[in-house]
Amino acid sequence: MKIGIILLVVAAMALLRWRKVGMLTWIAAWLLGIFVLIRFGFTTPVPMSVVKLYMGILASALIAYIFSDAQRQEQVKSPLKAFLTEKKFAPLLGLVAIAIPTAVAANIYFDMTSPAKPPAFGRTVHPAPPAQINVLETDFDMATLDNPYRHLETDDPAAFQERVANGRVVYYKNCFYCHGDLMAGDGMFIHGLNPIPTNFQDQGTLPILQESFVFWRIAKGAPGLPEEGGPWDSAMPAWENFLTEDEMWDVILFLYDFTGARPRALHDLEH
Amino acid sequence: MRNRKLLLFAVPILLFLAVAVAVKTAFFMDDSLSYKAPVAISEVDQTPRSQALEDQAEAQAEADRTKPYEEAEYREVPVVGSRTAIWVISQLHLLFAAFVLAVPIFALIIEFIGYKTGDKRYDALAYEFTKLLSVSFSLTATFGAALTFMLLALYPKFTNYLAHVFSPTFLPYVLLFFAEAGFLYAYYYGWGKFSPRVHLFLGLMLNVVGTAIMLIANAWLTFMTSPAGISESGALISTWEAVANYTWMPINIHRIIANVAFGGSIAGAYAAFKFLQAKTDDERAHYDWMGYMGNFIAIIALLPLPFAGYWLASEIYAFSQTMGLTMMGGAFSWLFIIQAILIGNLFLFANWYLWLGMGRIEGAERFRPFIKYLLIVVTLCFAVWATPRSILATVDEVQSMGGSSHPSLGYLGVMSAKNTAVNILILTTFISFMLYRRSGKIPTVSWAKKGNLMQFGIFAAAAFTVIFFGVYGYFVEAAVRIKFSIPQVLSVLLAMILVSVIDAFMLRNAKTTKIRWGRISPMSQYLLILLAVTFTWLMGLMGYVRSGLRQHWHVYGVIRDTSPGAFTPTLGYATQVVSVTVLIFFALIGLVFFLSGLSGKKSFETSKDPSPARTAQQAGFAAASGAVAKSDSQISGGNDSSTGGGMQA
Amino acid sequence: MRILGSGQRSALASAASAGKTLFRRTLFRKTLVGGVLLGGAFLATTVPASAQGGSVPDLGTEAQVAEGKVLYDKYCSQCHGDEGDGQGIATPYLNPAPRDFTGGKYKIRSTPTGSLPTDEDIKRSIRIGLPYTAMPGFPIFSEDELTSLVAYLKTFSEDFKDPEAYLDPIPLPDPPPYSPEAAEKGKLVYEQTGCGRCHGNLGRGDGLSAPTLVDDWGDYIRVADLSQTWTFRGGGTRQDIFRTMSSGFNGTPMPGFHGAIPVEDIWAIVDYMTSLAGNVAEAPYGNVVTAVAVEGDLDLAQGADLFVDAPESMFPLVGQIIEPGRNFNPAATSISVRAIHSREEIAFQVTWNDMAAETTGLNGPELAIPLWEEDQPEGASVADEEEEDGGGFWGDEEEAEEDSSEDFWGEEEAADDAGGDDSFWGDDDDTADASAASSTSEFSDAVALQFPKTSPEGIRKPYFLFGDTELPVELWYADLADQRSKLYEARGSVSVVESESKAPEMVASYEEGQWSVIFKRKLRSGSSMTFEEGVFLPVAFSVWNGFNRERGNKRALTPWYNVYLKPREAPSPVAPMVKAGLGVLALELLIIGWVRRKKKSEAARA
Repeated sequence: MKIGIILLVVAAMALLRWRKVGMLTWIAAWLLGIFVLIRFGFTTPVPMSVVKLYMGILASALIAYIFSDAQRQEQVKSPLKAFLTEKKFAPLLGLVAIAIPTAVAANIYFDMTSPAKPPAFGRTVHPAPPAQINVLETDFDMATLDNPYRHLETDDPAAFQERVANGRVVYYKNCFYCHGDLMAGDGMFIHGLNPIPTNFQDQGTLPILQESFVFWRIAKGAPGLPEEGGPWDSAMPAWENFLTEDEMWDVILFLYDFTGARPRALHDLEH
Repeated sequence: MRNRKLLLFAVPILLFLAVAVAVKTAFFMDDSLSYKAPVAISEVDQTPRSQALEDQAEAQAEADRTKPYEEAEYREVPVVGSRTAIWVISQLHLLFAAFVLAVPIFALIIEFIGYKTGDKRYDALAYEFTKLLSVSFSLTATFGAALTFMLLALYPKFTNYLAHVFSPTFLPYVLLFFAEAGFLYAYYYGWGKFSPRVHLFLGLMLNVVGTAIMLIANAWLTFMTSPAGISESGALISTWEAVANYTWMPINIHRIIANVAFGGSIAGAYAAFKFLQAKTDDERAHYDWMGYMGNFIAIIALLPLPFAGYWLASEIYAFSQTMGLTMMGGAFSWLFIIQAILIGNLFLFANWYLWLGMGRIEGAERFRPFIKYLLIVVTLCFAVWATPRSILATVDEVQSMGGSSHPSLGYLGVMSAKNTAVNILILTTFISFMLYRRSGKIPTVSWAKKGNLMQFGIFAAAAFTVIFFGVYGYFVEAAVRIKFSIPQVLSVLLAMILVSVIDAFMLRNAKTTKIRWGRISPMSQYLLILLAVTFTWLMGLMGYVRSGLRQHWHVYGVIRDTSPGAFTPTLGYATQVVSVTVLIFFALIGLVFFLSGLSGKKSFETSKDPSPARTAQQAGFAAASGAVAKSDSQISGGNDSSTGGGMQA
Repeated sequence: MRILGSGQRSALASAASAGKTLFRRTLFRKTLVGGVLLGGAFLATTVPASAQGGSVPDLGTEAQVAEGKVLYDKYCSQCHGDEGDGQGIATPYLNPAPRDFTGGKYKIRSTPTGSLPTDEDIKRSIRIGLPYTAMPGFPIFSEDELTSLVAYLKTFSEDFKDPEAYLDPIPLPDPPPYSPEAAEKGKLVYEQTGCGRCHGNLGRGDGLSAPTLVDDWGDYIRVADLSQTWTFRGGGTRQDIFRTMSSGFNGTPMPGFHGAIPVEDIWAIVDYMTSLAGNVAEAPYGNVVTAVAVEGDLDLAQGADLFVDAPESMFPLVGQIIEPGRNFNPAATSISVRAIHSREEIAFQVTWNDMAAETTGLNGPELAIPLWEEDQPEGASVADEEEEDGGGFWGDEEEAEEDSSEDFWGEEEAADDAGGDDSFWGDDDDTADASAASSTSEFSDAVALQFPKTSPEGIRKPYFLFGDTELPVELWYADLADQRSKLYEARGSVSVVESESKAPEMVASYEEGQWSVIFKRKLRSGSSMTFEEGVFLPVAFSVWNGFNRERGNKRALTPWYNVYLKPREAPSPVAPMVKAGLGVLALELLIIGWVRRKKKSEAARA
């Protein structure tokens, strides 16, 4: 957050309050103020799609505010009406009447002459896996697949730790160039990758996934993604070409162990 | 007058278009997501043209002679394709069916209240609701028949399979349908003709039968999503297991609740429609009240709906992770953002309607100042609730964010924040409702001040609990965090119950001020219509998710869809289809409103002799506006609809 | 343009160091013995060894060491090894290799060359990491945790117990404002100081001795490209550069200049580097190549002049590490692209920095490659081979030009021949070995542009690594050994075949450490993708560095970016502007008219 901009907006609002301006001014002030806050108040700029979303919500809230009270409705309506009908406003009205189409035209002009932006691809980060996968010539049913070594966690902690340690070796030999030392998806090569690698520290990744899903992603990599995942862009290799099945399960154990996340439980299929 | 009528039709359509366009522009989804393989270049044929034509004709004749009979797997509907055709028809069938099932539920309850309290108003209201039923019932049956024929004609093989599994349920279904018709017409035409108890029994049976029909139909469609009771190759083992499959019960519950919400909102829209057309104050008062009741029913039913939805979603996850991921993280995840926006709007509209409703109550002015703060809370919660987790962004924006989620806004896109937002939203709506109720009553009990303080304390405690668990949720792991939603929900529920109880005691013998039904800004009536449109749209979209989840399967994992329409429609396309469906539905429901209004119209020949129905209705109006003093309800509307209504008094 | 024979070059390398000894060597610390310093720039340090007053060094409490060990074992040991010897799990795959802490040699310090770092220096490296290496920043550590880690790190090296090994930090003043004048002066100082011997005349890391440099552990070490300040290990801010310049990098040939040249001169060089990098703080990476429309034919003879009006886009290059031929340390870190199009043709100019032009040997995207080869750049392996034809590949004219060239290094050669050897370098074994870098390479440099074979429909693109079986890609490949372009069609890296279609035209040149390759092709050509105006088309790049033994799928690459052909005639916005403007105006008038009429009727009624 940029403190300066926030203070600026708050100060402007306070000034308006002090000046006791009319309802119309307030509406404009809110729209503008919130827009400035959202668009420029964050250190990392907020994407336009979200700005539009918030501004839409704000606009409907403001409309609800005005139209939930006859007095306020009148406060907005009467100056507008006066502006549209009274003689003394005629020059100004003419000006506004010309200004709005001009602004619209200008907007079209800038739209058509500004440098074109590459098309965006709304990539699905966690697309649905197929019902069945074949890894290293073994068929796995995704509905029932689970980490075969997960049970060691309670059954045999020593053996479990050994597997985690092995997973660590696998990770630091293969994965951390992209997924990073801290698994935050910030490895040394990410500046040259698009899409960027998954951030395993993000609560929206490991904890919401079953281990079978992670296994699928590791084993099949980008080439195994469905269309909505953009398999042609992702640099995730199909690790079944490099690793054994055990190594893949081990590295999954390590991922969950290192980040402290718990895998989404495999639901019991019985009623 | 002409102006007003024009507005009546133009405004809902405009509002609808506005919602559709807003959603469409907010989500500039790529329509062309499906991948098309490049067309192979065929080799050039060297045969002369005349020769080729002859050959062709000959071959055709030969083919005709020897054409064997083949069982068709699929047939196509021209232009739109069978996928879209059956989509629209089944959606329309569902919308009418939902309405037909929902109305008797609350008609019966209202009638019962009327019977218990002896208040004629309620009886008239229940009748008014029931009046909408008969035409809707016929339309439901029509669309149902169309749907059946389309299934038989367009998807013969799949329909055959469904018959294989479910044929034992067909006869009960038909019989129940027959009974439904009987009870419905007896209930409607027998209004006032039977003793109240018999009539109530008829209503009860109508509900029982209707629900049973829904349960059977739900079995068929949930089986398609989560098949059970069949062998690996799809052969039937147990019809009962096929019926009681994974998602059957969640869908049943979800649908009953959603039907009530939907039916209430449609009835509210009907009232609004009538209100705007009304010529007398009595009529206005009556329909204002009816709209209020419809909206009240809709919102009450809306509140538990998210929880039923959670249950359904978790059962889908339990049945198949693939399907769960398709739903929440895959192709459909964007739909849930749209859903959030629509639900956020529903809450905003509901609050707004209540605030407007304060206009009809004397002495409501003292609560005016609170509205501003309630609005701020609603807006903030709405914004959090609608914040997407992974954001649609341009390449530059993704680069500056370092991913598809924003470093700061990302905190708002997760479950903790959203649960908190929606709980506070529910709490705020409840506060709005309490304020509305309170605005017409001045407590006379000695401990009123303490009671108020207590209520305030309860609200504060609930809000604190919700926010505390929301914030704490960021610091614990996911498994614990999921459980936090329980205390959040419980504290909100508890607060609502406690406050209601205190209210009930505190408002005993309270001084009541007049509620001037009918004295409300016409804006509120447009809101009711908008609410109905939003509900319908939401139903359509969610139906698309539930059905689309199967992707390229008729029966998930058993019968594969190999028809040309086996693609998963993109969000953009789905929005269009759903929008068109909603438009058709509202055109038809407009017809229903019109037709059911006919019975109340003066007869063409004997204009002086009012029909019995008319008399009953008038009695209702009179009762409803009994409290309204004539002088109070001088409505200076004229032909100015936007500033008209009681607000100017 | 200048090509030197291997003999010339190796001679020059040592000559450069000896011929112009700018610095007096007064103190040679034990940590520096064996250090290879080819730049000839040695630190004159006169700071007393007991700078910290001979007091007992702060090695941390036992508890801190214990806590540090726990953190180290979880977060550091995978690369730096359990024993701190730089032999972790990942070490074989890392280049630059992880630091070996046992030697007490820390690269990034604020203290004079050869001395130990301050605690804060180590913390800084841990906190923010070393850019463009496998050492990430660890912002997760608190100050206390950092202190503990430092305490534990110190246990790896005996040096930290020696109070004598500490020197006071070099004062690090606030940077004076950047000035072009200082940058101008910096260029002079840069040349006088001999920075160019390693870093190249224009700082592109193409100095003559660049291919020969090794660090204290005998590993080949790549010279920093000074025109890309954001890749600097010690950080790219002007203050960072000043610190690195002053303190040098222990364990590497990079000396510290503190006390050797005046502080103003160091700042001047800093400003010079800043200007080389275009005076930007962060890498100016783009994501689209905009091809501008030009009139007339595209004449390749004009070379880079063709592209004067085209904006330059820079893309980061990363190693191909996900298929066989894993390339963990690609030589090129970025590629800059410009493009123009005429009515018939499109031309791309790609430039990238390369410390030496490998113009012999073969290369190609289809060459077979082992999964991963653990090899060093070829430098020494072909040391003794005599080059057959020094500059032949440039053609006769250029050869002549080369022969007659009289430049700075030419003089150096003379000086070297005349002056013989210098006793100081005599004891350095590495020099002889390393200086034998050769331009006779087994693999040549190469570059390729990658386009889909057919125009993409919808969002679907070919796989970014040489396409896939469904959607092939075309590679515009420039073989820089025989100055020939080839057209490849690839359906994945195992299926790369030379296409029978006509290859694009190409010219290439190498100058001052930078390759520039220009491709030209028809906008529409047979079965290939059509370049359409106003459409975003996928493009990706590959660079092979022969010295780094990159070939086949061992390469530096980019994912898909976009190329956009700016339309020659942009559709005129006037008609839509007028239409929308008038429409809005009409709507406004309607509203105004309606409101006024209503008011009039109201007034009439009243």
